[in-house]
Amino acid sequence: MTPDLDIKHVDVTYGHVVAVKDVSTVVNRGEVVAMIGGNGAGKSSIVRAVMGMTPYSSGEIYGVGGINMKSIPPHRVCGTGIALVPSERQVFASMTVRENLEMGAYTISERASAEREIEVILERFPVLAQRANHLAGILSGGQQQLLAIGRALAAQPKLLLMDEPSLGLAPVLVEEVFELVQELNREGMSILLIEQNAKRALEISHRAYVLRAGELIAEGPSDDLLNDPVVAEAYLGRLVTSN
Amino acid sequence: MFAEQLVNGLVLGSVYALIAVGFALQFSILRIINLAYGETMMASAFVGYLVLTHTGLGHVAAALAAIAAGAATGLLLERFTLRYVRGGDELTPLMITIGVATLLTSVFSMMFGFEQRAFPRHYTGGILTIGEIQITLVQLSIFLIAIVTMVSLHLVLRRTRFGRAIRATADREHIAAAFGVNVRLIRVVAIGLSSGLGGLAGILIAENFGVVSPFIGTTFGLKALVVLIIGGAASLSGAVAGGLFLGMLEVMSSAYFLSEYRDAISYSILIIVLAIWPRGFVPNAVLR
Repeated sequence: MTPDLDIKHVDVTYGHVVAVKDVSTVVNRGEVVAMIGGNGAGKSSIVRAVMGMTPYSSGEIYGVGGINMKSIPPHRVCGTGIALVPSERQVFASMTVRENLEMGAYTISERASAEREIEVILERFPVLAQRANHLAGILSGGQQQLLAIGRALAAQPKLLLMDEPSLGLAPVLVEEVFELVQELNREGMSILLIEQNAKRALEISHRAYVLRAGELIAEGPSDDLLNDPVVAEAYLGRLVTSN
Repeated sequence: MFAEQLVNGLVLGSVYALIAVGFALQFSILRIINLAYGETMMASAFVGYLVLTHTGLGHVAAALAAIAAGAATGLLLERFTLRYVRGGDELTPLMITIGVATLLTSVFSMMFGFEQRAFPRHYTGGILTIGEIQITLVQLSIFLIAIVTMVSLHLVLRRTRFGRAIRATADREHIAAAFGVNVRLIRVVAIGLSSGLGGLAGILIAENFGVVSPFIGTTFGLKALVVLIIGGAASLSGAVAGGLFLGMLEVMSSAYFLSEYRDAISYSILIIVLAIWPRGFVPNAVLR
């Protein structure tokens, strides 16, 4: 089966600064794939390249159904089945919760279908339903994160790109977000999970890639990486002793 | 006397509000202060003047021509200048719009001379009397056109899918694009729409004062800037409130003090407002 995301040897540069160098990543249908690494590792640059927000200087990116993303303008990416949960939530602060969800469903041309999708999301997240007519900017960080996820789901994606969804959240909310990632995956959603919380990301993902300074330094099944001494020391804050 | 001034203030304020709403819409999407906005109004007023004096067509045709001229001026400005300096430093587009403003004033001065020209007004004799309040039909039509236009814009932004896309773009352009909004198209529509509003405001100003000159752009463009700053740069409701406030202030200060100090009072108020509320009456506003 064609992967939902196939990144082949991609470089991303900002002027003379190389943010991503020769990175290849695959997300198969129904997988949660984690991409971990510290600040400035290039994780978000990869997300931006997939979404068409940042041009990539070489390599190829194939999206859902094997579409070559190079020729897709940024506003058409969502229509190919890829939705973004951006870092730091980035909800439309001056719009209501419902309007945010309506923007998520913007590519659904049939109005009734879009409204049905929004109702499904409001049922899924009762806390959003209670605040449907509140401005998104006044929600708490956790509620904004749920809204950012709900907004992405409203687009009816096949692949979800989640850029640091746990960033800045209280530990209990972080757990809720990771449980939600697992729940969505059980429903069949493919997910590329960009995270600095390496331990939890590895625990809930099938496979993972480890980035450092724009280059892949490790990849493989998440369970293996959890026990990899190099990864453990650099990103999990512990040493793994071999038997 | 007071009731009459109240009407004058409301009429002038509604035109200021209309100017500022267009200005705010443009600022919220393009993130630039377009200092050629006043000259766009002036050029549109002259197009309306030409339609009235040379074609024999009526005021509706003149207003439509002014709106089209305003929209065309804005679209040309975006297509041939502002598009190429997007994402650069903030001073470059500011300097470009100053250059375009100077160019438009010079061209229209060469074409029409430096003196004011009488603008053929609509309904010159008609007066509506409600109790002690007398309002000319010109004033009434100006007020109603300005209010209906602003309410329509509000409804489009609030109630339509396209309006939500405009607001989302004003809020977070990249995220709006990620959810399918063609932000380049939104930018073009925003400058066309806002400049069209400027064109309408230009002909309403000419109707209100009964004159048109190449220099009304500078005067009213700066006043729009005052309203924009007082109201909170990207707030439509702030622009309406700021416009009505400034219009009322100018009329009342002219009526009860000295009309020569009208502009001095306006700008003094701006300084005071900025000293107390550095980000205007509606801080952090994003196209509400």
